[in-house]
Amino acid sequence: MAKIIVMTSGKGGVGKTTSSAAFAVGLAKRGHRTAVIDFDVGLRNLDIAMGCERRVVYDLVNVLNGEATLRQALIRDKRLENLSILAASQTRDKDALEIEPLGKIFDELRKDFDYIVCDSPAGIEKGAVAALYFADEAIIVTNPEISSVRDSDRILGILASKSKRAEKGEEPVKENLLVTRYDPLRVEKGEMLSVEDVQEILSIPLLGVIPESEAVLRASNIGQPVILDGDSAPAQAYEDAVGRFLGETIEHRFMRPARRGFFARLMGRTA
Amino acid sequence: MSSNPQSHAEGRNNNQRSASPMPLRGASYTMMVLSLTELAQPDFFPRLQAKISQAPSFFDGAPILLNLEGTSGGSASDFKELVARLRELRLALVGVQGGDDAQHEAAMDVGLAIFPSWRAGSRGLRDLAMPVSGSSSAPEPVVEVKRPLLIERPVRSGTRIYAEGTDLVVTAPVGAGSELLADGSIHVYAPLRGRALAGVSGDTDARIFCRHLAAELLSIAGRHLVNEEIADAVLGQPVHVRLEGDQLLIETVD
Repeated sequence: MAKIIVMTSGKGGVGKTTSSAAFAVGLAKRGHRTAVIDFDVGLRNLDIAMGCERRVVYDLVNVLNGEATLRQALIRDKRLENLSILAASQTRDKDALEIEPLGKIFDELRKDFDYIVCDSPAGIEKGAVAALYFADEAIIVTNPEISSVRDSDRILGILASKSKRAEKGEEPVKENLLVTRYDPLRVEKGEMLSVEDVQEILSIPLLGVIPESEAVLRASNIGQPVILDGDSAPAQAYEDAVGRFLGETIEHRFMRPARRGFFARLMGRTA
Repeated sequence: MSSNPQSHAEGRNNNQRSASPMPLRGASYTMMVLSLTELAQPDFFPRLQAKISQAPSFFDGAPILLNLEGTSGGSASDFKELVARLRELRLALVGVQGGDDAQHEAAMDVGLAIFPSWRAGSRGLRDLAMPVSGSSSAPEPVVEVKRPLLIERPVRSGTRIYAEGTDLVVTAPVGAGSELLADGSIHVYAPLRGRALAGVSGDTDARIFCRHLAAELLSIAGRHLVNEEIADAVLGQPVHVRLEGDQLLIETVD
C-alpha cells in the first residue's frame, strides 16, 4: 500500500524542500518507487533542489486542471530511475489546489508508487492544508528556536483537525519530528534550543537531527539533494532518518559537538 | 435491587419550610431499594451475597430501603430480624417505603424511617449500576454526573477548547498559543504553556491545576495574570491557582 508523506512546518525557511528532496532520494536509493510533489504553487523550488528545473514542461496545476496527464507531468530523475518529480506551477496561486481533483491525482499515484512525498508550502492556509490533507505520515521540520517550534505545534494541530484522516475519524496521521539546522555548539552555549527541549514541547517521536552545515547550501546551489553528498554530516543524518522512517533502529548522531581534531581547531573548520 | 434517586429529605424539608426555622437542611442521596416480594424468594440471601462479593467495597455499609409495595403483614420482630440479617452482610436497613399503616407502625417500632412512595413523574426505580470487574458492558452511573471534558491529545498552538458548563481535564501538553476555557475548573496533567481561563461564566470558585506552569495567561472568573506577572518561584512548578478576593493566588503543590 502506497504511503503519502507530508513534509511540513508552518514556518518558512526551515528546510522543508531540502528535506523533501533528501527523503525522496533516500527512499528511492533503497529501491522504493518514489514520487516527490511540490505544493508551493507560485513559489516553486523543489525542481531546483532536485536539479530538474530545466526539464519542467507540465506541473501540478496543469494536471489538476486536466491540461496534462500525470504521466506527462512527472519528471523522471536522471540519477535514480525509480524517482519522479512533480513540479509546482510558478504562474498560478494556491487557490488552484482543490481537494477533490487532488484526491484523484493521489489515487493514480498510489498505483505506481510506494512513497509519495509532499513538499508543503509554509503557512497554514490552503496550500499547506492541501499538502497535508491526504497524508498518512507527517514529518514536522523544525529549527531549534522558539518561533519555529510554535509554528510546528500549530501545524500539528491542523494535522489533527483538518487532514482527511481527522475528518473521516480514521487513525490519526503519524507524526515524526525532524530537527534541522542543529548546531550542538550553539546549544551548549544556550543560544539554541536543545533537541530535548524541542521534543518536550512538541511531544512527538524524534525521527532525526540534521546538523547545520555548509553542505546544505552547496547542494542546493548545484541542484543535488544533500543526501547524495556522501561524506557530509547532513547526508549521513538524512540517511539515518530515512532508515528510521522505514523502521530501522539507528542511534541518533550529530546531537553533541563533534570532537574536533587539533588541526581542525587550528584551521577553524566546522564540518 | 434498584436505586432510588429521589430526594426524600428534600421533600420533607419543603413541607416544613414555612413552619420551622429549625437548623435542618435538605440533602439528596442515592439509595439501594430492596423489594419485600423479592426478599421472599428462597434463594434471595445467597444471590445477594454473590452480588456483594462482586464489589464488596461498593456495598460495604450501604444504606438500604425496603419496598413493601404489594405486601401486607409483618411484625416489629420480623423487621428486627431482617435488620440483623442485612447487618451480617454489612448493609444498613434505614427505612421502608409503600405498604400499609400496620407495617409502618411495626417499622417505626424498630427505628426504621417511613419513606414516601414514588410520586407521579418521579423517575422511580432504575437498575442498579455498580462496578463489576470483568464485566464487558459499561455500567450506567448511579447518579448522573456532568463529566468534565477530557482531552488526551496534545493541545496544539492555535487550538481553542471550551468546556461548557463543566470542568476541563487535559492529560497531554498544552502548547503556547493555545487557549483552554472552562465554565468550571481546569486540570492539566502536563506542562501548561498556553492560556488557561477557568470560570469564564463567572464562577469565582473555579480553579486551575497544572503539573508544570508556563502559561501565557491565567484567568479565573475574569481576573487574570499574564506570564510576566507570574512569580518566578512558581514558574515551572506544579501549581494550584485559585481566587482569593480579587487576587489570583498561585500555590505550588507536590
